[in-house]
Amino acid sequence: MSDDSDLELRDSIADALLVLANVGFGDLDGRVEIKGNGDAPLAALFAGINEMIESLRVERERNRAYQTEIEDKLATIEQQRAAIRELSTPVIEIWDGILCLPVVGIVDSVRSAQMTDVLLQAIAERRAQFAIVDITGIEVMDTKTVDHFVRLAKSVRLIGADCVLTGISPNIANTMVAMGVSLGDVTTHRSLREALKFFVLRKKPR
Amino acid sequence: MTERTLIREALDVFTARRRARQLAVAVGFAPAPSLEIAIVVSELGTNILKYGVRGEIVVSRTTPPVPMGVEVVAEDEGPPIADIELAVRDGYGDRGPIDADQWLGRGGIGAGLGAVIRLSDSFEYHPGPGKKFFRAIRYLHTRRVVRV
Ligand SMILES: Nc1ncnc2c1ncn2[C@@H]1O[C@H](COP(=O)(O)OP(=O)(O)OP(=O)(O)O)[C@@H](O)[C@H]1O
Ligand SMILES: [Mg+2]
Repeated sequence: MSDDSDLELRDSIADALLVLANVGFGDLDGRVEIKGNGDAPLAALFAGINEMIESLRVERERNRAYQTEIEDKLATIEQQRAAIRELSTPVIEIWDGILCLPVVGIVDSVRSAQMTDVLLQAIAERRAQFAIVDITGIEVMDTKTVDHFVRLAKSVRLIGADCVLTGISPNIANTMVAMGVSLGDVTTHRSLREALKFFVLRKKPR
Repeated sequence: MTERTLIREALDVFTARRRARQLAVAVGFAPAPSLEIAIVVSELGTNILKYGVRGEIVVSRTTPPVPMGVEVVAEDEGPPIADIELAVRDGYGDRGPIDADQWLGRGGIGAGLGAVIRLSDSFEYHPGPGKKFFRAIRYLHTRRVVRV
């Protein structure tokens, strides 16, 4: 081997080591330069190294794509969860014969009407004696919607059960006063807990 | 700043009102009025779902000379409303009163447009030609005196 080709060889190997070191630091864009004709033994080795770097790069791209996809999916799921909470009207039997309608999110006229339907139906189906409509956390409602909740409580009494409203925020209380919404003989309690105590004490065994 | 939301299902109404609320906060509205703007979007959006054809909600920041605020436009391609004067009355559909025994299971109390008017400072209805649309604006600084 001549000194010249020896020098060239060392050069190429140094080159390759540099590229590999960069790979170690996460740079997958560098490639080992293949000098001379492609059938020298080193050329085959270098081509192999380049192929390996390329497949690492492809793999990393794919991982990144998965990552964003997963994050997107999680964000969508979180949004759908929030939507379900806000769009649905679950009636929960919190005690034997005592139903609770927890109201969360934004209440518009359609939703307040749905609540009436769902609650009256649940009372009839489960032959409940008491219903608690809990609007804790609802800060804002249109006056007609507030009025509708009071009417909802009155309708519950019409079908033979008792109904209380709990968690009326100061803002909603003001709306009621300002609009002259009459509570009639609809009972209100500060919290769900108080309402529950009130009912459990008055409950007749079934 | 303009956000368009096509209204095809209940989830879209949810999306539209979330966007409206975010926009309202960005414009400088306090939490309570931002929620009221979201209710306006919700009422107009559910009306598109219930009665409209291919509708969308567009919320945007008002531009001068209109005072600072949030504008909500709800448009759809369905036929115009038979009698808007009736439709905006609480407890009325567009062909007359909704009986109390009717709103059970009807999916509404007939107070949607009434709520939009009460919670907005400016309200317009344009029957077309072309798409019909509602435009409701809430101003940041000058709250119109609400008539009940
Ligand atoms: N986008 C629309 N296309 C056609 N008709 C509409 C549209 N929006 C409202 N209307 C008509 O106006 C009437 C009044 O609407 P409004 O929202 O006030 O009450 P509602 O939808 O009947 O009940 P609620 O809103 O309380 O659920 C509706 O019954 C409907 O006939
Ligand atoms: Mg409506």
